[in-house]
Amino acid sequence: MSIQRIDPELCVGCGICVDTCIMDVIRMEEADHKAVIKYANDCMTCFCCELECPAKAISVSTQVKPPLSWG
Amino acid sequence: MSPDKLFSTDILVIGGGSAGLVAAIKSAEAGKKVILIEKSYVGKAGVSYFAWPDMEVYKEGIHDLKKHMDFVIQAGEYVNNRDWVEIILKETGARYQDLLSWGVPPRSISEEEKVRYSHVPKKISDKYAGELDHGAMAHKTWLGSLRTKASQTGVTILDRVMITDLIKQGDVIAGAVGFHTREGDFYCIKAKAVIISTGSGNFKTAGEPWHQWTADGEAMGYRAGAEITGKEFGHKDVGSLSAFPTVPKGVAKAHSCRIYINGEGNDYMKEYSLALHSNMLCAAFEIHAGRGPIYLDFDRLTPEDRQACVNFVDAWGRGYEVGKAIDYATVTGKREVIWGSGVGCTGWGWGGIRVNTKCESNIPGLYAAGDSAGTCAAGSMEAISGIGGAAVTGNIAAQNAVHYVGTAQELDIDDARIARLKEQVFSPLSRQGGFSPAYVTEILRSLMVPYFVVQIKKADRLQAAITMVSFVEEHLIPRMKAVDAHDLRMAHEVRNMALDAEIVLRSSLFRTESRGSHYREDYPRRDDPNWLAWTIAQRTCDGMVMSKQPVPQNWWPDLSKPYKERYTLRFPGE
Repeated sequence: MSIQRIDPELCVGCGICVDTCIMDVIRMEEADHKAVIKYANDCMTCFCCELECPAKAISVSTQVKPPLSWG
Repeated sequence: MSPDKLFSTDILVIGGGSAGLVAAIKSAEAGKKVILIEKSYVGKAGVSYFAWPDMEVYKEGIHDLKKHMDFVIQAGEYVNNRDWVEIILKETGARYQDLLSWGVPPRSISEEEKVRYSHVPKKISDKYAGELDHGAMAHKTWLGSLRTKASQTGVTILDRVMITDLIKQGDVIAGAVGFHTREGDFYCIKAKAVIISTGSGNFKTAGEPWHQWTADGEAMGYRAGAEITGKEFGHKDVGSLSAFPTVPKGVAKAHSCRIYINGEGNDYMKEYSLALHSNMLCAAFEIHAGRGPIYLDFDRLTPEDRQACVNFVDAWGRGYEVGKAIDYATVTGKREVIWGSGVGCTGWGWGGIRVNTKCESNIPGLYAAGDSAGTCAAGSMEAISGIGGAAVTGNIAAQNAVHYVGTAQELDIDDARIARLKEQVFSPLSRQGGFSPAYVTEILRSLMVPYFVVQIKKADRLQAAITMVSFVEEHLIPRMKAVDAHDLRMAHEVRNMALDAEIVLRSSLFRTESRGSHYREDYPRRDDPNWLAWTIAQRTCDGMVMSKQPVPQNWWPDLSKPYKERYTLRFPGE
């Protein structure tokens, strides 16, 4: 679960995902102006980056090991 | 010593969701200098970004105010603040018009989309005074429109800055400090008035990737001496499925179809009158009796209900944030229910910084709005809240803060104090070793999430949890180590969450009765003579002290009526 990949070939460097991420997981790589995953462990899997990416460059996984909540 | 970034303003608004944006725009429109600070990004922040963008709008002459108020107050079991219920109902329509006039795109609600509103179970909707009108905004973009409007109105927006603590001079608000969560700069903002609109506090299952409801505003308010109210209530809703996040929003619709079964395969919900309001408590009672786990049995959906679920999924998902997560296949089969999973599908706490009907806290110059505001409008069971309430309280906080700063002086904050604050804020960064914020967060969630701590409560278990949470606060949190400014945010968040946990537990221990979403195994009935009252947690030199404020007597239920007439929902054993 969580953000898996930002395809550097598809990323257009618009920065929408960088602003969108509530957890500030994604940052812009200054050198080539591409979005990169910096804090993958803090991703809360809200899908906002993937859905708002105009280039469809981001994939978020839906696979999850269920946490135990109620026994 | 001077801070890296020093600002001076009339009004500082902390938190850039719907309440904060409305408060900032209204304050700026009144000609005041306004700074709006957000630890994420204003216009894409908070639970507002995940909320269904819709306000319930009461219209005078069309709707029956008394009936709507009675519905809310019965659901809240008489510990609602009636004045706030009336204000929110009456003023939401005007706030919706504000939003439209500020460029927020309206959204018409299709018949298909209205399926959502059948989420209110039939049995409740029969009692309900009829549907209010809906003031809906365009998905996703509506908050962005408010950001644009705020900028145009002259609001200074600071993104990715986390405020950690308020500053007072004497008893009066003088500003706040925090840091930039990317650059790591120390921020000091001198402000004549502060409006806190940082949302609420709540806990989710350990292991879940979810970081909202960190209670930042409540915690900084508490540390500054603000009264915190209503924290024993909340945590109402069963989340959704263990298949997070492949949770279609249609599940919310499925909840209302009442297709739960327990581990024995029985349709237990029909045994509970309480099922009307609290899926969560009913599920917890089943689990407690050893009849878990709980499943949603989609195979039991009628064809009509299944279609409604599919429609609902579609309506929610279109142009919305979890489109990818929609999985039509989940409307068949059985899926295990866990507590508090799923984006947006969760309970939240309704407590917060205690405010009067001017959104004033007990600290001069400190206001609260949105979910941060302890209005007690919802009472013990949520039946009124959301974006409408956020806009109404945002506006009221702004009006009164504007009035206040008209006569308030800017207060000096001396350099030695700023230096001390900076050292405190950055202390996790200065340590070479220590506990990671991620570790402390998981420990805290593990302590708070078990059903027998915050759902089915009892004095000895609450006391045990207080002991453990106090240890976290006293031993782990002062020894946290952050590796960078991003990690420092996590450290301050868990510091706030731990304080919130203690307030929740102490408020729950203090209320020696059961009411609404607050259930005490050792006090399983409402106790009207003693507990038509609100709890208040406040910091004193002796630590956290609990007190209660009586609900005005003219808001009480008719005590001459038998208990079973006053309260139609039964706790187990009643």
